Amino acid sequence: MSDWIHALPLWTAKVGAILLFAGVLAMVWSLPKDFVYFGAPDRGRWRDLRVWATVLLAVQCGIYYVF
Amino acid sequence: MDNLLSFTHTDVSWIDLGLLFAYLAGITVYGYLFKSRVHTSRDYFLAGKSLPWWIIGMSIIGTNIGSNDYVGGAGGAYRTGMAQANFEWIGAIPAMIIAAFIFIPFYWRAGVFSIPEYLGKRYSEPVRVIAALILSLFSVLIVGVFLWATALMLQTYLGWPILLSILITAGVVGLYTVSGGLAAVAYTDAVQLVIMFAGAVVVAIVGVNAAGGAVNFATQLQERFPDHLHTFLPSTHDEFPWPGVLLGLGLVLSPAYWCTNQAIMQRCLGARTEWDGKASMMFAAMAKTFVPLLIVLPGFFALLMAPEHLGVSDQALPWVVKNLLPPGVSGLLFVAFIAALQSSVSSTLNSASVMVTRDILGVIRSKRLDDAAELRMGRMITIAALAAGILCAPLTAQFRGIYVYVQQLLSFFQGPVFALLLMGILFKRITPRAGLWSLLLGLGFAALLGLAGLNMLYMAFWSFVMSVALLFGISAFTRPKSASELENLTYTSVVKEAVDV
Repeated sequence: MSDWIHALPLWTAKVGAILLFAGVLAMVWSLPKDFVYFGAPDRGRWRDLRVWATVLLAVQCGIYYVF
Repeated sequence: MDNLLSFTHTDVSWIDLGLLFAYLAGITVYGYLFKSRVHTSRDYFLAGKSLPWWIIGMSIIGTNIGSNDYVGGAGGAYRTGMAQANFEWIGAIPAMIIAAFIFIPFYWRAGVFSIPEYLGKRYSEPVRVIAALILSLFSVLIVGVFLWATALMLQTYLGWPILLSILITAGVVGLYTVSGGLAAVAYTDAVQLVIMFAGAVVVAIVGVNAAGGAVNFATQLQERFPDHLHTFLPSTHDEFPWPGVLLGLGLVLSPAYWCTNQAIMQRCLGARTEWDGKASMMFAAMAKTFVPLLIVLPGFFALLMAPEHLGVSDQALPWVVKNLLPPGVSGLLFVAFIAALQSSVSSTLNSASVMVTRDILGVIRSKRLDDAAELRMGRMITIAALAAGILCAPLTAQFRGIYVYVQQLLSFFQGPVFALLLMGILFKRITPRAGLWSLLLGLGFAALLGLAGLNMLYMAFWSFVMSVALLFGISAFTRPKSASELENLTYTSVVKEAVDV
């Protein structure tokens, strides 16, 4: 890896991780609702997989922020 | 694995033995019961597309966790601390979400039985056959690794001869995998996951109590080993440099594993609806979030409580088993090891069978088999893959670390295969010819990087970058498939269909 990467402070990694999570979250919420629910037997709120993804990524952000 | 020699069969109590035999008998009978559900090749390879999301989710994690995760995970936590958990968090969760929303809908709607079959539809039959050859060869080697690891544990823990241990494991797993197909694999995986989590939770409770309670455990860890509480390590770190973790693991290796692994994806293809397929991966991601608590904690227990520094970090878990766990609990953990291995063996066998039957022999044979013949062929191939795995098992002894061996094998082909899948789904302009040449040249490039001794995390990243560049470069000069040929195979067509319905 290039020297400039070695010169970056360690907190850059945390910022990178949180940006990755934010990017995935943005991708998930950009998907049409019909696509997310496609094949679901009903449109219950708990079947909205974007909400599941949000919870998962929020937990990840918390973990990487603390540790 | 050598460190499991720390277990000795003289330590085994009758409670532990009883647990093991009850598990082996129970799982064999339970898996065999699924034989009555198998009437067609679709039943055998895809469980008749009947699996609910929660069974698939449990099966995914059951397949994913192996004994190397227990032993290697605890050893890694002992050695480097929380950084070991990157494999379960940043090295899994984002990729699993991408798999759920981007990849599973395409595989499911394309109506394919395997990932190489999708590649065949998206690119060409040669790409399908090459991908199937690589992935099935890897599957057979991995079956050998898992069988050897199980046998080693049975030998060291119970004193059984290696060959007998391999044959017993292969017999138990083979019986229900050959007879019940994917349904048997998925449902037994779910039971095995419950056993694994139960074992790990009990170990966590016993360990925290031995450390004087949760508060005392956390305080001691913070005071004595503050460096072990960081997820990211300096870029100069030998094992887990943070750029390698972010770029290699987070952006390439992990999506490549979660989006292209046939053993993982096959149960998603057996989902009863597309939503079940997507939800299964999200459910698996939720379970995955907690895996570090279960496999990393024993490493911390050894770190705090072992009276002297352990010479080899992978001795952390055996030390905990020997010194902290009472009879019965150690047996439960041992059964959890065996369950973890068996779930991985059965899933890998089933996926190898579908690829060899449909993607290699099915393409090479000029005449297509009827359904009954394909089902028979699938079962025969499963037996053959198991036999090949048994023969390959002793080769594992030639390698020092099983976990690293598996990861190195994966990093040779995951970058190029993932590039083909991701770019093929996202861009209609990528051409069949670009797919074929990018796969071949990307594999060659990865091999060169491997021979040059590059860290496997960087190797995966650069072979992926190379393959992407080749895909776009060659596509600029060759002809793409028509819109009708790409229906249900690319991102825009699938999302548009969902919105139109």
